[in-house]
Amino acid sequence: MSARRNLLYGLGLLVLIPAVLAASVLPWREKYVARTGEGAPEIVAARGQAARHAGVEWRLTEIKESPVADQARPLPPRTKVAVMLISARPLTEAASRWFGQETGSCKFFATDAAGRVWDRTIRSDLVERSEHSITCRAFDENYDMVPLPVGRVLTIQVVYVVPADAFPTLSAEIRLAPDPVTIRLAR
Amino acid sequence: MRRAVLGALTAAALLAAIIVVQRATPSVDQRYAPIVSRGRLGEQVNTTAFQFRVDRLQLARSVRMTDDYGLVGRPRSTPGVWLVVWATVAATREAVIVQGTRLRTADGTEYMANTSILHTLEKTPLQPGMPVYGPMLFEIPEDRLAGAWLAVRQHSGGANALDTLGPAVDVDLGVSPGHAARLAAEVPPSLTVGPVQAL
Repeated sequence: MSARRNLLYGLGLLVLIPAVLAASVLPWREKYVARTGEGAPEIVAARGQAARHAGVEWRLTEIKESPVADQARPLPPRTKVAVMLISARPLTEAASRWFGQETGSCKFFATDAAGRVWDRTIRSDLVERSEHSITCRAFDENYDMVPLPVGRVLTIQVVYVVPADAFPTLSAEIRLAPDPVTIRLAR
Repeated sequence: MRRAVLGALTAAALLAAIIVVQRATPSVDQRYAPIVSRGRLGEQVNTTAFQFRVDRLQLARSVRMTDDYGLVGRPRSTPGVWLVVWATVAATREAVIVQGTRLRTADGTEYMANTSILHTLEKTPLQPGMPVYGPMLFEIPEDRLAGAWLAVRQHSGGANALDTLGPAVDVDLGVSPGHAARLAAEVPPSLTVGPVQAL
């Protein structure tokens, strides 16, 4: 009888301890994901395919090597300028409004086959200005943020400086916030 | 009787175990401290986020910084001496910023790297696969160089608080009291310091 009671206590502890641990750790996990982006849900699109999330279709249109603009300072040795064109298209009304919202953000990164990750360059002298957007927000002629009509494509240009050996295997990574989601677009 | 003794012994053993565990538990500072890799002057130290090597040291009474275009800035003096630490650093996987670097002297005093002078390694963004070489500047009393260590910390941008748990590097600058005395005896009045260079 005593052994049976002890067994029941033991089983109770086996259930209780993981439950307490989960209750204390899981809220921190959410905060960790929100702050770092690591561990966020991922949506992966294969080469030539589009990724869909929250009514927005994301597609890696092109990665090209760009010559350095005439007046630009030299690049670091053994590096190239990679220009990525990413298209974003709202498929729903809610997604259309998302392009005009002030809250939330999208950060663009380049990754290579070795798992290295590069931020977009802050240098504006490397490539000529283009008509493409530099962010995932839509603006009117007064530079006020506005919804992007359903079905219309917003082309975003992102410029990176990457080591020459990374260029052939580059792909795109987009980290969305505040609800963290990582979108990976293969080349 | 035997059962009571056994119970008392078990309780004493558990109490002792609790005391041992409490004493062995790391302090808050230790728990949240960065994971430090140690090295010496001239030795490359690898962490999961970046690689770091101290290449050489220089002292000067005043420094003049050169910018990317080769223009030399105005002289910057100090009540002590300038210690210029030349280092090579590279990000390994993601972009990082080396920020909050300190010089820790033999008596435990810490001196922050100068952040008001531009074109140094401090706060320079680093991208993977693109190593850079450059200076870090510290203002220190002349007699504090012997036994000094460099404490290098990273900053990854958005998740500031989590960097305290991240990788870090401590480098023994290898300055013995004799070496420090020789360096102090030969401090030049002025030193022109070049900017960070991509390698």
